Amino acid sequence: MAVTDSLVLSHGASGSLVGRVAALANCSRIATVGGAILALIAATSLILPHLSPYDAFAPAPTEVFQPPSAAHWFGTDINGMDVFTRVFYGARYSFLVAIPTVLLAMLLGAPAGLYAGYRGGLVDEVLMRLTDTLRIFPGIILALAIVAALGPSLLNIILTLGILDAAIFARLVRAETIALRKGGIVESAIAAGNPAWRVMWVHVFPNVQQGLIAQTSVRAAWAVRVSATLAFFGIGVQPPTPEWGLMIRQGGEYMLSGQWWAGLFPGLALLLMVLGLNFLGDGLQDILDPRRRSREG
Amino acid sequence: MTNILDKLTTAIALILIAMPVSAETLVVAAERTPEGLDTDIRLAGTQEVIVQTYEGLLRYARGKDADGREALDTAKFEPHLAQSWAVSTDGKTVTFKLREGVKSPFGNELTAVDVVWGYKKAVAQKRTGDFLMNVAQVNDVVELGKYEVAYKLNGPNAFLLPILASFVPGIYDSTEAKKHATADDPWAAKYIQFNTMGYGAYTLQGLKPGEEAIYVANPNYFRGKPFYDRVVYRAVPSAANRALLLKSGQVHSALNLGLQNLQQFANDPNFTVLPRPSRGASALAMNAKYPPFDDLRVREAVGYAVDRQSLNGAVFQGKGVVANTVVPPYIPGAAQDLYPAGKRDLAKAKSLLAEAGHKQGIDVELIYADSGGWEETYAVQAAAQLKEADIRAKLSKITPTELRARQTVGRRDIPFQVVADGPFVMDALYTMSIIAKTDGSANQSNYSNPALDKRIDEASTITDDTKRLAMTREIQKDWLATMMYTLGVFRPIFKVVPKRVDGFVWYPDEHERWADLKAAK
Repeated sequence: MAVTDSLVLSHGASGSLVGRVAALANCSRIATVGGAILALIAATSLILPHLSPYDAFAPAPTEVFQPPSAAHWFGTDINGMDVFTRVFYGARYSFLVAIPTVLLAMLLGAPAGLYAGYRGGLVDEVLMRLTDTLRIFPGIILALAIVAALGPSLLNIILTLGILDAAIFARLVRAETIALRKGGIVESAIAAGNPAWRVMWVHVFPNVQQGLIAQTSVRAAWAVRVSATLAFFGIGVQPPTPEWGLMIRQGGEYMLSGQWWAGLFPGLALLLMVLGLNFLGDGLQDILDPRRRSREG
Repeated sequence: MTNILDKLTTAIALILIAMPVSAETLVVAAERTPEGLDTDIRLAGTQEVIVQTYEGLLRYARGKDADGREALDTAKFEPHLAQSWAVSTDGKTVTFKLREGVKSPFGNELTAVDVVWGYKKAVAQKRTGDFLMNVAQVNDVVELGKYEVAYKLNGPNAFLLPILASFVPGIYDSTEAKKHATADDPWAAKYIQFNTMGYGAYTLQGLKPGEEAIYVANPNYFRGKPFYDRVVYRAVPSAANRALLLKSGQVHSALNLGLQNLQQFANDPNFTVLPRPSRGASALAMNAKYPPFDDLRVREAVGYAVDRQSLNGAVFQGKGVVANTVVPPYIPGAAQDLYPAGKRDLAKAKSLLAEAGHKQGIDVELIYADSGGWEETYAVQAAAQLKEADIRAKLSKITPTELRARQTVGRRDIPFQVVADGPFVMDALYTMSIIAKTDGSANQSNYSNPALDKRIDEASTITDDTKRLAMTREIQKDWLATMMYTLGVFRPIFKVVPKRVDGFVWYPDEHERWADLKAAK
């Protein structure tokens, strides 16, 4: 049984999904709030753009910069597009960046960290110096440079952020693996004649998953922020894509001339999503990290 | 990365601008610092400043406009660096007597050697100055005496005088320039790129790229010391920030404020808003060297798919003038009735695409740079209109620097782009020569028709205005029929002048001259 399962079940929940969610909610209120915010954003991003009478991509030449009203709840932007529709549609891009980025980062970082931590020696040195190199530069600057060089597309943004963030996961898994390598589980597994790959994947990896899971939400928040920053600087996805960073850039230019709504609402949406992810990440760490739990308990 | 630097430099500029400056210092907020200072090499931010340091043999006559404000009469010329000129009876030689005692900031006197050196530099570099000399059909410039120089032409030409009233080809202090020449760089082009040595009112004191350029008045300027003895030219990339700085009195002049920022000045008694239609028509330029734009039917389809009135309303608040030709509407000879795609016709656009073998429509990339603050909106609106005709345009934004590089004669590798080039010589034929000729400096469609080139050259030798305008009309008709440009709008431009500053005058090139400005009494 994986450690995660045992923790959840130890709080008295049944094995059903609803039960597990309820158990998680009991464990951490902050995670519940974060999860609720994200669920709300996800649900509204899927439903509201379909209910809106406006197309998130279609300019309306006669509706440029209409202030918030009954017809346009969040007003319209410089292209006459309905900001409300675009803000909720834009959440899809944030999820579309955050989820694949984190998955890619885990896919690259976790095996590298596991291998380096388990084997040690030269392999460990090389891999860790590589991750150090990636971490020397501020992630945002490196992402700006790479995406500017590769060209602005969603795929390039995901690849860049995923590769950059892999270093974080590699470091995390390596540290946990080194701690476990010296423990009884690994020694027993080796003594039982398990090959190295099996020891790593069957006996070590399940025990480092909790740290990984706790990090996913925090790293997703980072991905959303960086992706929005790229778009803000004009390097991310191109107009008229309803991406929050891009909308903030376009709208921000007109805050001082009175059209405050075009930049404000996507800004609030970005704030809310990052807040939700960070709440969830913080809560998950509380739940999954035994050291933090014991401190708080 | 340019965008990032822009944002960072805005912050630095805002801090620097807040610092106190002396009463004789003019503070200008511009989109960017110049990327080069060579009169012959047009780079982002170059023209705004080279007009302050290099001046022509002639200048436009000055008078008053309808509101009593000082204005230029672009049909008349006055002596400037030259004190007089004479045209030979056959029109093939124009002789200039230079003004004596004109000195550069380095103390060197203007002589015929400088004029000849500037011409030869332009010819050697084969860029803007060379192109303009070709337009004027100048085949040589010769020194007749220390203060006398002759322009030798292939025939009579209508463009020579307006070109010599401009800043290209530049008249350099060749004595100073030669000190920086090397065997590999005989025209000191590398030095001139980031240093000034003209006979104009100002000279560069220091340049911090992306941050600011400092200019000081030429102490030897022949028209007397300008009112402002120092100019701080700061990069403030955001139009909103430039407007804020102007409104708060922290700068005397803000360039390219954008229509959205106009309203806050319109009813403010501390500012005067001086509007004017732009000299350049916004357009979607299609490059004939790249499919599918090598097919006239596709270009026509693009033309019929665009609603220019709608673009004017959406992008320019309806304040622009719909373009029917590339010649600005206020210039005599601008044909208003020849543009084939005068009215939007989606059915015709689709039918033309089908005829061209694109029944399912086409997928293209529309490239633009947000140089003037309107291009992105223009591209978004145009792309939405094109989509209705199954022309699916993916937008691609590049930096103004990259755009300039890719628009250079000899490269011109953009298949489909947003453009807005216009003439600084107020003449219909001149406009056609820069846009329609094979080597035209603004020929962004890469159009090449030797027969049309020949007709433009022939027309430029005709001194009879009526006859030349008739030929120009035919040239416009034939070029417009190629549909290389899907025309849009002559966008509205405006200058917001604080009441504390006097002397602003519109020039054909749309760049203010700091030497004109002074504190209001």
